[in-house]
Amino acid sequence: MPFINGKFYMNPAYGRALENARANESTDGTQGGHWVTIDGRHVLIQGRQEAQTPQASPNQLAHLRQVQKRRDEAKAEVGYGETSGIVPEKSADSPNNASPYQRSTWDPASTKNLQDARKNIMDISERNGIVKKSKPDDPNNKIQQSIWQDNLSVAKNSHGDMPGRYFFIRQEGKGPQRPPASAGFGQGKPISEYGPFRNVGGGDVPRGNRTFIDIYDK
Amino acid sequence: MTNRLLVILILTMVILAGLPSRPLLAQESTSVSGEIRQLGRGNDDRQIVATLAKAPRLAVQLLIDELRPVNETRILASEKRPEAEHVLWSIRALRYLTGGKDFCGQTRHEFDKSEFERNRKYWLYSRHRTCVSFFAMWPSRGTEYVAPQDAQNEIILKWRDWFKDQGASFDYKPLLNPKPEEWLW
Repeated sequence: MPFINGKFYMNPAYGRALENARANESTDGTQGGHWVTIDGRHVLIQGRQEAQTPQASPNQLAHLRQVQKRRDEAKAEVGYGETSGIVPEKSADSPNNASPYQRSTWDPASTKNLQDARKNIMDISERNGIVKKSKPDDPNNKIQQSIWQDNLSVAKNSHGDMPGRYFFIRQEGKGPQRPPASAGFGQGKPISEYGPFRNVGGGDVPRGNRTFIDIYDK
Repeated sequence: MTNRLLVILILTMVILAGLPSRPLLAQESTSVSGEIRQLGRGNDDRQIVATLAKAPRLAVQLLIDELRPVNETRILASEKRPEAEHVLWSIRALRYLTGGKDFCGQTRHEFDKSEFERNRKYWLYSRHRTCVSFFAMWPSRGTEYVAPQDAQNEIILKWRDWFKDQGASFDYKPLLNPKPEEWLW
């Protein structure tokens, strides 16, 4: 996958165009470059040539940003579809009766760990598209919207670089601890493991406070 | 007299030549049937399917005979449903032996808004988009969702019709090192 200006892009032409367009926003447009055609649109690819060339237009920039937004949302749908019922562990000093969705009671390390797990799952979805995708179905549901935002923020950093091709979510001590043999993966040791988290939703994983996300490469 | 003797001799040879092959065919059929009967019932199913690939045409014929509608709508990874799993594994084996062939069916079932039904609908439509698979797996949960009965019946009929029309002439090329999503999910 091409690595452009510190980011990975599925589509190299878009990646170059987007990064250069971003760079062009703070330049005077006289640094040269060449034009490519993307989806029928002419886009400036900045280069070292000394030719006098115009910048990407505002419309082109808007189009590229729209493409990037759609890509981020598609990734966020994976994280949301697969993990929306999972929340981080409670911090040690939070009250016993705190709602699991009360973010101020979340343990910071566990919160980061869950975000890392989501990124890994989103990265895996680039190689293995058989994943659950969904979005919040109620725009007024604050819990749904906050979890969606968590996934959206991770999606922006998902570039497919984290390892693994499969993942399995389990509740330690309840139910199966690895996928069934009929799944065709996960019969050996996972390559990495995230958790424990709290599964407060459904999604066919038993509820509980010892939820783990295992990553497998075969 | 010589001609009669010759005819008797030829007939005897033909009969004798046919004798060993009939038991062999019957033996092969019995062996393949035995393997198929074990599918989904707690053995190494992938190994069984690999064995079936040695006689794909016969195996496909016998696997289609095993197809029948199942009552389960969802099988969690923690659950054991050997009779339903037998049918699901027969579908998997058919996909494998035919190089990935798979049929889908239409359903009149109305999926409700419950989480279970939304997941069931999502996964059953995930492969073919416009019609449902006989079953589908949510890989990260190991859950199998099973199609409504009307779609199951249609898919079984499609397999039977296909074999009746093309089973004899079909070029059986089992999948080679397939990914799980090509035949298991």
